Amino acid sequence: MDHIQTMSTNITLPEAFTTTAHHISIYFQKLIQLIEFIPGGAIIIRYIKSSHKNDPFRTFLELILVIFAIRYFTTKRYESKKRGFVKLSEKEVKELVDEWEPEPLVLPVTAKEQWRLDAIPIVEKPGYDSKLKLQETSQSLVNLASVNFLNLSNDEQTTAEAKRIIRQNGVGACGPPNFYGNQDIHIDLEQNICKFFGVEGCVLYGQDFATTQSVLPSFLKRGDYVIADAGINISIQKALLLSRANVTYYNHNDLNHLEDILKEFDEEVYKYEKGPIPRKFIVTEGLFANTGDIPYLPKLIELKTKHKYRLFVDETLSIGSLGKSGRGVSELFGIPVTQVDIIVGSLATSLNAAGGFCIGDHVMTYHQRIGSLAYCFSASLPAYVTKVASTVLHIIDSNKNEKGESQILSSLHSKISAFYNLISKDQPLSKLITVTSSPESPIVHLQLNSTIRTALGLPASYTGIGSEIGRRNKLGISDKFIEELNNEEKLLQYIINLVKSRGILITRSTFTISQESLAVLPHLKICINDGVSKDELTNAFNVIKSEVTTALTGLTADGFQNL
Amino acid sequence: MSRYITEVDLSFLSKEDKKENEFGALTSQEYRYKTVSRNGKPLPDPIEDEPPYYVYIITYLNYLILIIVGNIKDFLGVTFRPSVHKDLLQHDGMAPWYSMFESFYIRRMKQKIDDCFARPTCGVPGRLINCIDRDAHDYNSYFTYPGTISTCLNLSSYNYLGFAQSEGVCTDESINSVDVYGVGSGGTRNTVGTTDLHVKVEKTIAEFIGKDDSILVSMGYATNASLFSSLLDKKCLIISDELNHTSIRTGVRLSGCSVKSFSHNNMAKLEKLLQEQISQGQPRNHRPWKKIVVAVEGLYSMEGTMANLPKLIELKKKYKFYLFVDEAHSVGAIGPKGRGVCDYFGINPKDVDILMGTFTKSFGAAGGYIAASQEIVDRLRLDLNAQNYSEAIPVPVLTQIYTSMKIIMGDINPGEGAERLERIAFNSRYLRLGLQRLGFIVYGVDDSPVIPLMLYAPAKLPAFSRMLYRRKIAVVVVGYPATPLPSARVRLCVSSSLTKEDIDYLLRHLSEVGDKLFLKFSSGIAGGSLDGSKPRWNVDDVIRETPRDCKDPRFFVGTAFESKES
Ligand SMILES: Cc1ncc(COP(=O)(O)O)c(C=O)c1O
Repeated sequence: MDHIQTMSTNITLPEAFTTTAHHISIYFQKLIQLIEFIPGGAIIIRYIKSSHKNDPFRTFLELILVIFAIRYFTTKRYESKKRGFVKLSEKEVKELVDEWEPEPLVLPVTAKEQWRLDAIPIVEKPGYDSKLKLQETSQSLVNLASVNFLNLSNDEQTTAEAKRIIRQNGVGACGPPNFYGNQDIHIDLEQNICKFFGVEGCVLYGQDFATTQSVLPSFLKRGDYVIADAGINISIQKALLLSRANVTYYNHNDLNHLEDILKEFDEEVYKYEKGPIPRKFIVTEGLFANTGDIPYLPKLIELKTKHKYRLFVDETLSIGSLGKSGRGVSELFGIPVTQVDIIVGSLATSLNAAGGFCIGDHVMTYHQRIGSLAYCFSASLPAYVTKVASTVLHIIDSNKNEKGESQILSSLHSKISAFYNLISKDQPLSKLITVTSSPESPIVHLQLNSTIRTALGLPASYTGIGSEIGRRNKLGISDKFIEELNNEEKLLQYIINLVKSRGILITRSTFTISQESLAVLPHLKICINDGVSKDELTNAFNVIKSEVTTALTGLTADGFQNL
Repeated sequence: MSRYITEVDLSFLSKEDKKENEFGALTSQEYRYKTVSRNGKPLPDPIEDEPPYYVYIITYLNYLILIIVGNIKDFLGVTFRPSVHKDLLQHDGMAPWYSMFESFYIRRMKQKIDDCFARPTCGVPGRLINCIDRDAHDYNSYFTYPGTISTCLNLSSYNYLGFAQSEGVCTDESINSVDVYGVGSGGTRNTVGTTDLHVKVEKTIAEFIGKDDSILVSMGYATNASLFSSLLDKKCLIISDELNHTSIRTGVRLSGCSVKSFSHNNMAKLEKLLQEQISQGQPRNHRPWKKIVVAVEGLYSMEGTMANLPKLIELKKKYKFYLFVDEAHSVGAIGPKGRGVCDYFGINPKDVDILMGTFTKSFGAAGGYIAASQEIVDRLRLDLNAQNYSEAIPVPVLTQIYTSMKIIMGDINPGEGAERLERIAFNSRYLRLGLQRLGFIVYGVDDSPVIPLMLYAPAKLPAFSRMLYRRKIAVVVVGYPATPLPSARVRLCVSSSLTKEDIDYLLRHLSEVGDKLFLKFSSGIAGGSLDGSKPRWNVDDVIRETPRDCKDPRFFVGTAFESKES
């Protein structure tokens, strides 16, 4: 600019004007050349040129709009920070600070809840075998409580391999997989899992509960759509919360309802969306952790193909227990595993180790290696743990008959169905309890019969929409203690204690009730273990039946209150 | 050449060699240093050295070129070779797994240097680490493995106290525990996942940390991810250091509470924020917050800085917030007795409400803990998601935690724990001062075993990593998005298992590589020089002088002023 000013001193005004204009236009052209260098810049320039030629006024208007927009955005940030702020003097601030009394960090466990802490069983050696020893009891108990269904915790082969690898690799991996925490043993397990399921990729995680919470948010973002089963477990609920996607629930295992929703979305939502197609997922579980039932997978595959969704299935409990060779719910229905887009499994259930994994195609799994937070920002599993899982996969596959049935799973399946037949077909028992789990489920879920629940004045659900917990969460009430829930769970624990005194350990569902956002009810859970013989199972059934009958027959609302 | 990795047989190593590779024997009693407790004194404000401006300009240009070239390639690729870029495009009426924009950094930058990340290893990640060699093909789109290994000096693992070992009492105990308890965990802690060993280890942790009780969780990340939901709801506020770990941020997001953050370690900003938030209350309705939690980390793993605990405690008394400290990297590695930042600063652990930490680092195990007062632990035992829904820590891992902790406490093999603590303190200070004297810019406090060495330009990441790998040194390089855009760095994690001679070797090679890559930018204000001149020592002088000098606080800027005062 001062270049122009010095010139104007000895040049007449009109001349000065033209030279200035000339200079400006040179600068302007240079600027345009510069903009053209930026990717996409050429398009902008072409746009401005063409619109200017037709209508200079419009360019002017747009320029003003741009300036206005910039001003708007800069001022808005300033105002939003200040908006709603009350101006306070220093003295007032000090007073307010002094006055402020926070709530305690947690509410103390009250006398009414103390039984929960006392009821946590403490297991002693030899750990999770078919017979289990508790600190409180002198004799061993039949183990119908732990989730290592194949009973390989003290198996000769798994323990020998574990010891060998600890001697070779030590215990911890001391680093995340991307930073030297990726040992040959880990990669070996990933490859073994891929081979086992016939998939392209596998990613290991440090804990099964954390796996889904990390996998789903790495593919779902704001603006994506999820249609999920209303009975999914809390890990998936949390995953969906983290992903910020639009979530719609269909009634638990009601695939007709799902279909209606899919149709409705096709017609009412996606049709009006502009821009690229959003990512769309159907989310469900292979074996529901809260209820023990199984979704009808063929229909889900049909629906997801027809409506162009991806299918996510959480197989934490189903892999290694469902299907003739333990491949999970897909195998149960004779569907190739690759038909499901994302499968999450656990290494801590049948596979007897610890941690979780996610399998699927190469693109999806590769993306997790940098995009999935619990993978990138957490240390790898101990090497021996992954070796144990590899060994269990080997054990499952090493003893197969010509029909492809794994011997160890056939054995487990026959025990599951024997027990299921006993407990689900017993007429007197069905008046007291309802079996909610599927015949194939290794965990048999028992729920208090609805007539009994009504008689005891218990609500249809403690959590979810319209429930008491839902109300308190909405209002931000810290106290989440609910008398009825406490009593119902206490009643179940009472039954567990009765059964325990007769030499059998069963368990019940435990919740963080304030965190559950979908409807749940407390259940008794009987986990079938392959190490337990059929006779022991029959005996267990008789014991459970008699103790349930003792506890529930003639139970009045008063008696219930005073348990 | 195979595309697959199979278990590598390392049995050719004799037991003695294996032992020495995992944990180098101490070569002289001189090479130990006992950390001094700060006795409640806060840290002085950190002095951060800046490189010359042209370094920043080059760095930004680096990124600009990467972004422009990447975008052009994307554009051309998608237009002319859609079949190759199928993953990025809609197909069969479905959106791609990830959008072009989301994955831009991964595809166009990280993948080009993928050979520096996720190097497969085998054996123990101890003093030396065995990296499985691999050949990259087609710009790292796949690797083949020629079947050889490179045994490198290990500056990458979080093996602070050197407990990554396959020989010694820890390993023996873990192996024994397999025979006694089996390998599996039977379920969640609140159903049948609790063994008597869990109870015993929880009590030991509580004793070690100085709290009433503790809770074990089977994964460090998940410890944080599940904790905050059980403490906070939407009427609560959390104030979080901007550099807090992803696990904390995940946990906070899951809790649904309000979040504010303050600039890293800036106590003045934190105080201002506290005043503002307490006086203003919740947004819109101005009701007072139910509670406020301040969340910080003991030792920041990317910065080497520490939370200024004495100052935080002072603020806590004034503003009545609850304090959460993540000691993932500091527990075991920091403090005269290895008890973490409270120990280091001479603060009563009871003054911090929740102390969290992990076992993947100093203890050579896996999992995390939460240590707190009995009242808090009892409530969390019932209401923590990790207690109700996730698997318990398996017994062999528990045994490793127990044994290593008891060694640090001096109850097993008395003297061994002290040696480990004094060796990591010496090694950290020696390496830090050595690097400063050579002219590198390093971040962090004097006693931090994490030493970030600044590289700035992203192109130097792969160059540095590859050059050192050729010199048989394994390091971790980190750039955007794990660090701010212009401050790519290499993170050196010091371990007790390194000998002084290992660090000599390291310093020689770093010095050479530093010259070749133009990394010696330091001005001396943050250390390495006492007279304000630019430190550019000769490496022989560094190795001769520094082992002695590193024990003297006068040579460290952070503590130099204090020692002058006293
Ligand atoms: C501060 C912090 N917290 C938590 C974690 C997670 O620990 P883990 O690797 O045991 O899952 C890390 C690990 O990198 C960390 O740095």
